[in-house]
Amino acid sequence: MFEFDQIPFAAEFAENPEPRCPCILLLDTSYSMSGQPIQELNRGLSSFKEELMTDSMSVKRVELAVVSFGPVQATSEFGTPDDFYPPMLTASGNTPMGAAIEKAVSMLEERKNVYKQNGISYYRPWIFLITDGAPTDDWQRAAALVKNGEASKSFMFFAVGVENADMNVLGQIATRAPLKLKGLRFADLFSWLSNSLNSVSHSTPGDQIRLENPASPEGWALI
Amino acid sequence: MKKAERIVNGSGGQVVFGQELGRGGEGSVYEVVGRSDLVAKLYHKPLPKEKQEKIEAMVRLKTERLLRFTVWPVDVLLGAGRKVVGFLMPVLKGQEIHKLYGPKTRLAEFPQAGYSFLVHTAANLARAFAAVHEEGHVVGDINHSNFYVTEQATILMLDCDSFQVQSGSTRFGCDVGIPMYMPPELQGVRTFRGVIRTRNHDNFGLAVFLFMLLFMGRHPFAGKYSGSGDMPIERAIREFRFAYGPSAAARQMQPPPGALPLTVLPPKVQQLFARAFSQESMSGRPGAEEWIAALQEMSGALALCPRNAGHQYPMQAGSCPWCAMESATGGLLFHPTDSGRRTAPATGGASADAGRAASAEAAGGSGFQLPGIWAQIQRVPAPAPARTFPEPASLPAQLSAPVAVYLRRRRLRAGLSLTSLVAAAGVWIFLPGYWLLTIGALAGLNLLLLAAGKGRRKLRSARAEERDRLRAKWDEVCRRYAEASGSGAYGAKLRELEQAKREYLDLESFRAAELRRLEERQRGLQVQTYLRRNRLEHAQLDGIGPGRRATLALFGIETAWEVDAVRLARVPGFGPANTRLLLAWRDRLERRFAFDPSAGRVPRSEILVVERAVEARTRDLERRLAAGATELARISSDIRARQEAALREAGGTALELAQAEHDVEAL
Repeated sequence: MFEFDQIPFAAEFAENPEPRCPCILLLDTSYSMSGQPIQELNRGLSSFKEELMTDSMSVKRVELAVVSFGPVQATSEFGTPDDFYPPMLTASGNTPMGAAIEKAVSMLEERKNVYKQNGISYYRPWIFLITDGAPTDDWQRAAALVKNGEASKSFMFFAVGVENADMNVLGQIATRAPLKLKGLRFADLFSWLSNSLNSVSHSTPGDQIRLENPASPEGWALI
Repeated sequence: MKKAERIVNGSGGQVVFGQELGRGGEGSVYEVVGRSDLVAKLYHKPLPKEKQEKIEAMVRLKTERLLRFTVWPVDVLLGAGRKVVGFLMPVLKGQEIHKLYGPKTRLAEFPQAGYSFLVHTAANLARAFAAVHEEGHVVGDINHSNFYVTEQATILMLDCDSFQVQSGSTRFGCDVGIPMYMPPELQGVRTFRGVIRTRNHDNFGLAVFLFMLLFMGRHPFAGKYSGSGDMPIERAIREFRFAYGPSAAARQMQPPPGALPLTVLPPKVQQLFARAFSQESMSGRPGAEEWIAALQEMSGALALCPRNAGHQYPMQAGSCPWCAMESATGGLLFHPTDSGRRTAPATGGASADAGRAASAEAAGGSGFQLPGIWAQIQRVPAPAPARTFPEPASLPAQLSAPVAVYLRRRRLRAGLSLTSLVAAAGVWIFLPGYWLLTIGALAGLNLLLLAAGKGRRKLRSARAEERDRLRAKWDEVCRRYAEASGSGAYGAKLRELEQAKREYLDLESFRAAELRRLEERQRGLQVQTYLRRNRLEHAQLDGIGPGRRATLALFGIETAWEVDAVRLARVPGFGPANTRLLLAWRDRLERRFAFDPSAGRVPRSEILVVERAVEARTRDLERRLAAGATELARISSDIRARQEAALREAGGTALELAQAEHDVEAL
């Protein structure tokens, strides 16, 4: 009667079957981020984990993954905040943003399949891009993927530009208006992101969430 | 917010607020100075008239019974112009219910809670609903944060001001609701404002929470959908796709892999769930009273898993579903409470232990008792030791028939030849004139005899060939026998089982060592934090001036943590005296450091990683040891069968070979 087959990923879902809100951070680690920007970004990442951990629902429902570029690599695979160990990012290389976006979209598809196989319900995933430059590779296909994903509601794509980011290209990739980070306020940005994910994790999958406006005078962003 | 303003309770007494305890979307909760049993909720914004009346009505409607299950408003809080700005309510105890039904948080927050605790909590949740319903109200906003569970498995409902409250003929509505806990008839509702909530609506949400309590946090409508596209929970609810129900398959649903099957529950409870979630009975879902009776009965009929006392399960399940689920998923559902079972003595009194194990098995359990299991392994007979075979050539043997016949005939021929020789000699002596004739006859006869004797070579080579064939066969049989006897399979398996047993008995100390290691690391981290807090620039160090300190900072030495001989050696112009001074400073700090065990608590999640690994290893070793006796017996009897077959063949071959050797020698 109780002869089950071994099931991949089963342990995490058996111990925590709550609906999941996957969130991919797409982080630019190109050479131009060296110095203070990358330090602030690293600091922001670890406070991000801490903030998510303080919410009893987010810690069960939010799943984080990090893709850094360049080169494009999955620095952290999907896991709930308690299993998320903020990577120490170092800046080097160029800005293959197009490939990074494609990687993120395919990781999301894979993760959704895992959820479906395991009978886990999920919220609309988030892709959160942070960059300080312009893509050094072909980004047209990535832009098309983002447009399709947003249109079919299979994910939400947010783009944040730091300092000298090419806001024009970001505007062509994202369907939502890209945001410009004020100075290096990564801490505020991640605090906002964790609050937003907290509200998502207290809602029901499929709900429309009204996000706090990050571009308010006290906010961390400029439109 | 209103802390500056004078706020009084219903009887005009001033209320003084202490610390803010929590902050929500519509208000904050504060301590009340001088009242440890009460807290105050103050709204952020002025309340509309209707909401003020609702709170006043609720205070009037408070009853003993409601206060047992809810933090119901017990008094109003009035601001300027006697407007209601908040209310007083009993202090909340316990933790959010989702921390109990989700296994991961349960292990950390309710480490002692077994299934029995979950069933009790479920019954108490039903009791809380019954109390609210019987007073004429409806909970309405059912969600995972609105029910608190205490360590005694009792329930307290909060956010009562959002309930739908009935005061005489006046009804105060409930404007909120989370869709994943709402019944099908309320799915797709744009706003709950103006919607009349009923007990039957509540009964759906109640059933969802009871289900999550009994099914390890699984939502009844989250399953594997075999259709195309997504199946969000709300749509599944709207379309009656209860993933565990009898009609789930017809609705393209099946329970998630590794989930508890519905059939494990007592039939009465199964039926209640089926009714609560079906289309047919959507106008008459089981009410709280029905649930209380069924759950009470269920909690009286739980069995204890003989393998793991942390596992309790409905008796009618037959065998422990948690063992099966934990082993299939690799996850941990309950704390293994008697990890000590592994260290039970394995030697001595084996027969008594074996008896105990046998009786546990007879009781229908799958209990693992190492002594009994080990005694069984030891009872498996070892294969017979290898015998040495005698050399076949040394065996007494008779000639084979053809050789014997041939040899008899040869003797006869030799006799004839001799006789003819004697006769020829006689003729030659006595009849010398005939010698020529004699020689002719003699030669002819002996030629004939010689021709007859020609068969010897042929016979000999035939026998020699046979001997070689038999020798080869003999060698082969001997090889097979030796191979069977010398097969390391038995010994290897036995050693493997002994190793498993040793490891099994060591698991407890392994676990303790791992936990100690975590504590050590925690201590290390605390030392590090402490040393990092001690900055060089603020340190009282005579002889090391600001210039030196700036140089040290340039070399990355800013706090006591970075002070070490290797680093200091890299700083140019930093002599041994100064180095000693700094190292002594660090030393003093380290000695002064006091470990704070409360702050240095090892994160629960890391402890669970160890517990989970140890539990998985335990299961694996138990499985291997339990199968050990059978596997060892199979290996042993296989070896013996091969030995015996070789022996039987060896007997026959040896005799034949001995004869062949003898034959060849004789020819």
